[in-house]
Amino acid sequence: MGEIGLSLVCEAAIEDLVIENPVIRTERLSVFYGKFQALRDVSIRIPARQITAIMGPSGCGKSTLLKSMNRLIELDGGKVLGKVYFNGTDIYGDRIDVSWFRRKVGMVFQKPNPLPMSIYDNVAYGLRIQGIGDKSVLDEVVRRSLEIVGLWGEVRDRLKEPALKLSGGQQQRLCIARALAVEPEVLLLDEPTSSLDPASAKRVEKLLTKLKQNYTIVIVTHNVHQAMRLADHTIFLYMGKLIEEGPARQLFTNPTSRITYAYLNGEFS
Amino acid sequence: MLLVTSLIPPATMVSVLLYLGLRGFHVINWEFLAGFPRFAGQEGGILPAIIGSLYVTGICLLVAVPLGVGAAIYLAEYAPDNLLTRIARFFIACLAGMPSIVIGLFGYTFLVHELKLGFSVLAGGLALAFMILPWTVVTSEESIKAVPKEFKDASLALGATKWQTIKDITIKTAMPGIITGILLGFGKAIGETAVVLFTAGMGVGAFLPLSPFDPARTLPVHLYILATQSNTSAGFDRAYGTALTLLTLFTLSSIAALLVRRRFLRWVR
Repeated sequence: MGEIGLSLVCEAAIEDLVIENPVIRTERLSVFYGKFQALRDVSIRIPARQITAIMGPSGCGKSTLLKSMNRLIELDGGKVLGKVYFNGTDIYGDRIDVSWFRRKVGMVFQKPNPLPMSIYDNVAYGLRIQGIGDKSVLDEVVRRSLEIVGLWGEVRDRLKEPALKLSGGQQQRLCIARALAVEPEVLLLDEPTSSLDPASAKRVEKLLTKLKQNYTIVIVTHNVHQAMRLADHTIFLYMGKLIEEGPARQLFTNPTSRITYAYLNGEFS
Repeated sequence: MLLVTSLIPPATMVSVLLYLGLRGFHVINWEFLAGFPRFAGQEGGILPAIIGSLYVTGICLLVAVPLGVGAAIYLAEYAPDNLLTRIARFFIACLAGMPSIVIGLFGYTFLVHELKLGFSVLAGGLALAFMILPWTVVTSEESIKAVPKEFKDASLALGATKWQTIKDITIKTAMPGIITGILLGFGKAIGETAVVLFTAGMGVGAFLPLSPFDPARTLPVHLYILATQSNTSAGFDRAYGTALTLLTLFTLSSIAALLVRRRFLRWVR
């Protein structure tokens, strides 16, 4: 009886949670891979200019939720039911221009994936495919994007070198610069530090805290400590279901669900 | 035992080269390479056959490369896995295994007679294109399929369309493999005798093919004629000289192709 009461209170709390003008909002989002259902009726809100951490044990649907926010999920063969809104527009609607929308919602992957071209061309690529070829514009955007991620000083003399020659940490910051070059509103990051050494990981974390002044950031992480360090807003998933969503402080200090509590205490991963 | 078996191919290669060099090298001089044959090739040079070979093979590549790469892109990126695609793949495999004499016969009936192309550079080039097409398709398709998904995801996530991604990322990354496939086809085409005998004709040895509708004699055909119709050892040595020229031509083209290939590889390694 106590537990039912608690979960009712918990649901009510989520309903009451007011986020002014969420940048991204999902409504009863379900995702299927063939017969396997990876997400079940997930409704969440992503607040503007904050870092939202999506947490949960492996296979809980974290990456699926992230990838359904920029429709990359469809390329993995995921079938989407329910709604995802970006600034109020249904992104799975017929009238959406996917290219435009994917520029607005940038993505950084778990494994750094620079394109097989020079450092310069990697950052310029997103502009070139829009037909922007003016060298002075490209030069300016490349410099500014690399400066933001703190890579400019390290690579300014070898912009023409293959990007794949950079170290893992540099590659990941290059991927962030590449995403920033097309002026997104949202940055989605899928465990961006899990393949990096601790020092590089720390740099990326610092960068994200800086970036949240201008960008809405959503980060998937399986590292509770990282989420504690970075997150303003948190989403906890378990077996494809939303267990808990709320301000980071509340979720970490006073989780409403027993599953969240157990996860935070490292009882399963 | 296995060591011995692995030594047989290089040993064969070396002895063929040595023998060719010993018997053919002394006939090679400027007159041989840049002159016209006299007395059915017993004296004089092989310039028309060199030009004929390059001309026929050039037309063959001009047809086979765009067709083959186009088909490979479709099969790798667009084709649904259905009965039609599987039938197409089956026929491609069959064409690859077709004896060249049969392709020659087909070229003779269809191109030379039905399409009234006559014995010509064009008919020869087209027939050779039929012959190497499956190789170009299969090698290109394999290398396109081997392009890492991370590259494509990176491009799509920046707002690139599927076609932009294929054009700018996939094909560029697959280029080394595609070039290897073209080289394989080129080697088969430039060395082919049966198919060109049926379609480009034997040519007139002393006649330089200029228009694509002129008949042409290629190096292998010239070699065949010299080898079967010489009654002096000097004439026979000219066959070895021709073979050596053919090999050199192929080697030089291979080196050129490998250099181009390396330019593309630079970005991936």
